[in-house]
Amino acid sequence: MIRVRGLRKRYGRTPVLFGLDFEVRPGEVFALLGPNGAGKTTTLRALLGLVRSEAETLSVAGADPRKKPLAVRRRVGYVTGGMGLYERLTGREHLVFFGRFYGLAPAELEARIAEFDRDFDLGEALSRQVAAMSSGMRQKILVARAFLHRPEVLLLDEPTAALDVFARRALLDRVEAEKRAGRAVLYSTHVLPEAEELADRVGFLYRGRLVFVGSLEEAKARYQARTLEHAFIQAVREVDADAA
Amino acid sequence: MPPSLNVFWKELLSFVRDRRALLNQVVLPLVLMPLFMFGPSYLVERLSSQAAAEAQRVAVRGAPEALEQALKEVGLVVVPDPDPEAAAREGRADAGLVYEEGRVAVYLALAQGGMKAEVLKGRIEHALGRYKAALVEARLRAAGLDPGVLEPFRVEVKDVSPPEAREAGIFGFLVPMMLLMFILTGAMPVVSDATAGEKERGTLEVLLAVPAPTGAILLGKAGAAMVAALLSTASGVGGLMLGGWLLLERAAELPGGGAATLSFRLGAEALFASLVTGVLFAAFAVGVMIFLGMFAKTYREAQTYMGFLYMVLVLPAVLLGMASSFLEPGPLLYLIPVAGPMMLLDAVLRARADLLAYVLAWGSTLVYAAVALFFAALAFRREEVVFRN
Repeated sequence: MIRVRGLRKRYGRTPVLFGLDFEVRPGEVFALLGPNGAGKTTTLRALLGLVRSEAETLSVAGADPRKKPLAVRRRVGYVTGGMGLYERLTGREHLVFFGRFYGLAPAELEARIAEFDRDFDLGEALSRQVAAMSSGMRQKILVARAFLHRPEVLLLDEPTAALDVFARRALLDRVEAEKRAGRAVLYSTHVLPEAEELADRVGFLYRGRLVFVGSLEEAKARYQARTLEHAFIQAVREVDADAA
Repeated sequence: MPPSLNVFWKELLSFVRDRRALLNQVVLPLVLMPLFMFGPSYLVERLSSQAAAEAQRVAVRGAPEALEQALKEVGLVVVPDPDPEAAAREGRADAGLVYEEGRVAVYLALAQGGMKAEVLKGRIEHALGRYKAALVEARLRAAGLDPGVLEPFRVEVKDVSPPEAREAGIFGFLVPMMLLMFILTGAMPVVSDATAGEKERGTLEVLLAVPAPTGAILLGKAGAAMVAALLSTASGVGGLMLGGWLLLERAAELPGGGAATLSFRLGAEALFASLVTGVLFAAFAVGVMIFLGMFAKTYREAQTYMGFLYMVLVLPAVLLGMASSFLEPGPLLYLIPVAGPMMLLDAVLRARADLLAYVLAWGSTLVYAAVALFFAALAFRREEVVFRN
């Protein structure tokens, strides 16, 4: 579903990604872990074709985002960490607005909205303008928006960054469900316990380099750590020590 | 629904739900324009009438009886006083007048008295003029001369300008600037919100991640901004026409018969020509604004960047004011961005636009609009601009 070989990116003269290699298979959650500024968001933007990048292989849902960005975006659901919604639109208007981009006919769109209303308990969030929504309501709309067109691949960038505990739980449960439904999920976060709960495999991204890719067990064994968090910290220390 | 139409729908929906923007861009021009146009003139006239109706006191020394009579005939109260200057200075009288052979001194607190003192000055001058005319006539007759010798011919000045130009009044050159300003005022909040506002909210990245060409997204945003700009302009034009109607209806009540005020009337042809000019200028302005807005990180920053456009409007307006008074603008001036449409609107309102003016101003504005939108599209596609933070 996602195949990346030798992904490189520079902003001006500053390189920010140094040849990343990883893949995400259908029915798998791959957690891209790293501190702020490690290059997680840039990686996701490259996968959507939002930024220029270089790579030997770059394939998302069967298409190269550098050559066919619209084909990729049609098959991808994208959630960013912020509460990026339009203040003066209602929840329903958001879903209709974004649904139309994916070619959903009005009747189909209404059926999907009704389905999400059932599953996510959207309730009042559908009729309220965003300005009058609670953060939980906003997050439900954000997630419904990303999943509305039943994407094959999900790119989630710090999706729980602005969530309260209830909304966060709902989102994590939803990601589990999507994984079971066979979606490939790239989950970018610096909250390691979330990755420990969700991920099948992880990638440690540090200063633009993937310093480890493997299963959770492999990570813990490799760094002789009790938790994923300890493994990540150990991995970073080793990189810093090598650099010194 | 095509992506551009979808974005257009979203932007317009956001605009009509923004009560503050609607009030500023659509409601206020309709209400404030008549007030600005008619209010000051009406207020001046009311105050002048009140001052003229007031029995103002003039301290007088040495004035002949005929002069005192002339002062009384213009409604002034004549008070004999040994020191009229002190009387005026100390407030015992509204003015002082000393008549000595061959010289009349009038004392007024002009710097303190404001409009009331100006009105009193006018009344005294009027009375003195009448007295002087009567004196000259009497002396000419006493010398056996016909008073008509002082006026060997009469001068009559007739305005041959078209009615539209006359109705524009002497401040008519301001109308084109105001029309273009309404376009900027209407487009600015929509463009700021659709560019830097989207960045600030974090929605731009999500919007660019949908399967729609960037050009279509840009087109939808530009279309909505143009509609908002034209709505604002329509409201402003409505306000101007309402104010113009008020001025024409009550011209007699205003100083100088309303001639020295801002008036405005549009026929069908002029309305069509103004609309085309407005649409082209709106496309150009929106393109420039989107380009600027994309470089801003916040809504407020975008408004600061775009604020300079108002300054750009002022210079051609000043030139236009001078041109209408002293210079004849050459056709090449119609090619200058902003100045061209402004000059064309001025020519349309004064019914003196010719085919060359239309071709040059419309053609060049169309080209500038295309260039501005092209650069806006470039900015929209540049990741350094879109993800600048």
